[in-house]
Amino acid sequence: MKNVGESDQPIPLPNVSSSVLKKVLEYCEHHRGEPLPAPDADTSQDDTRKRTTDISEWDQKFITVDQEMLFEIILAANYLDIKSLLDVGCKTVANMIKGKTPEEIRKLFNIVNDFTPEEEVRLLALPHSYHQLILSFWHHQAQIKKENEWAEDR
Amino acid sequence: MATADNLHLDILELIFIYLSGNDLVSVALVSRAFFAGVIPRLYRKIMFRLNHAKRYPQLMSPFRAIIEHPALAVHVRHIEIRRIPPLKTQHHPVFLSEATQALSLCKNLQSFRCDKSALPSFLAPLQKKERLQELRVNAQLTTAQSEKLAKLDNLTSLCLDYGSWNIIDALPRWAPRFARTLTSLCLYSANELNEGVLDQVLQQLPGLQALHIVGCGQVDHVAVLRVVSHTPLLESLSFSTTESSSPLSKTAPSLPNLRHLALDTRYSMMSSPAPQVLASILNHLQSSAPALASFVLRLPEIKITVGKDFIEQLVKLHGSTLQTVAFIDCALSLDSILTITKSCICLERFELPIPLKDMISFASSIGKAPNLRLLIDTATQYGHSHGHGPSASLNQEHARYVIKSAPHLRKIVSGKRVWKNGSSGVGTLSLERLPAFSSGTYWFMPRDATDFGMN
Repeated sequence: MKNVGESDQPIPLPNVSSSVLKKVLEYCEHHRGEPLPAPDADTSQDDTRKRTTDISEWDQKFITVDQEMLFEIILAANYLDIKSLLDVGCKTVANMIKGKTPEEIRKLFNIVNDFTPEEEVRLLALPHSYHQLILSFWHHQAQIKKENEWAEDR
Repeated sequence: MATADNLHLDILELIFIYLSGNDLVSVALVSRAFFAGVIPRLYRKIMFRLNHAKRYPQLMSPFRAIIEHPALAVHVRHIEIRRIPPLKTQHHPVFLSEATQALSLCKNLQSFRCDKSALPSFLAPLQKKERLQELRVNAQLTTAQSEKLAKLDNLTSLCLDYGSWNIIDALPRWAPRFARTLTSLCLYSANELNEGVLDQVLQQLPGLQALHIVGCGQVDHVAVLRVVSHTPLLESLSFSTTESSSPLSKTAPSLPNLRHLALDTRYSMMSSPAPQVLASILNHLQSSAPALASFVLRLPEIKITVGKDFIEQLVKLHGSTLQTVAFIDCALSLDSILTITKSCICLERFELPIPLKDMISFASSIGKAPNLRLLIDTATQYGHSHGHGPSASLNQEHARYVIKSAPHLRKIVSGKRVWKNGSSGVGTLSLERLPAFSSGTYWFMPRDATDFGMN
């Protein structure tokens, strides 16, 4: 937090629990003195190329935590604007997702499938071209909306 | 409680940046929130490649999707058109019109690349892109088309492939429009380019940081080393060398920031003066660019071995600073490999033809480089057609053997395979496939961590 400048003002941390803050401090302590990433590094350079999901050895060990802690760390890093830690967290989640089917991803993160069965059939019947997939989904949504409006009008 | 279910949309977007291909399709099917989070990622960069072109028009093009849902256009930052679907012998007219229409909707476009000779269709919609900074195009243009292209301003990076005489002629007049912003200029295979024109252009670009003049028949190393006196801030420089024995200019250009040098060596005969030419270039640049971090050499023929004297000279001048060394389309003796690994203490990335017949001595040479992380086999990576078919690539045993003597090594790339060395020792060697498509940057460009140097 050196880049905030020196200040006696306390920083309010309403969303960060003490156990998470401890982890975050451990990270900052280890990486102390390393140069900060350029402020717009993510918009210029990384943007044009595929980003690597490699994580350094120490960071890998550090981020091997249970899922709840992982997401708490991501939220805290985002809130405290610690970009390198946010990157490590996001890369870890991305690595967990890689190669999994939608159902496996739901199971992994305990996510409820909130597509209607009808929508799902439509989505799954499509070839794996996301352009077609998105278009069909949106068309379908628009259609449902129209039907609902029509029903309400009655 | 924090779960993936209630992460903010912007954090989901940050996570999805690290995914690609089918993983993104899977993510889109998980839930409504994930679906919404993945859309900006899917449309941020539109790349149209061979496998898309082959399935056109059965497979809808991303450009069609944007036309039907113009709201998607705001997400588009980068467009790369590598292939254009054919109709008989021509570019598919429906595709061209879709792409042109979609391009005019993408207001936030930052970079545009078109490898095929379809640029004329896109000249009109490219005109009004306020955020456009990077352009790489096949520039076989007529005079009228060249004038249109030369209206684009504030570019930071410009790469013209196969530029016709018309666009080369327009370059000096175009330069004032990006004189303040341009940091990188690449002219590849522009046969009409001559030293006079290049001189006029570079005079106007004193802030240039990268210059690549490769395969331009009329501009050899002697000419390039003369004109770079206009661009003292260069960090990266590539050019073609010839057998020309005309002397280099008396005073070497001052290039104190130069870190990356790539030489495209052209010569015909076996008893060529080329080795002397290469040596004279290194000597010439010694005072002007004392600390190279990256050096790339390409020879015209795979069977030619890079001279031992040259390697010794390179290591003597830059051994303490070199982090990346690449040898393409040539052979390297075991002695030379050892000279490099022993002397270049900062070496992190080594691209070379791996000598499969001498794995024992090779592996022990590689073990001498304490900071080497990435090894790339150029015999299989840069598949130029020499009529021999693909060369044999590394197998599991080879990879294990190399990693055993060089435990610091993180990755070995050979053929279509990437051997990854796990962090917990030799036992955890894992295998990945390279992506089916290449990054498409030129071999002479500076490397970055995600680029495995494929053609």
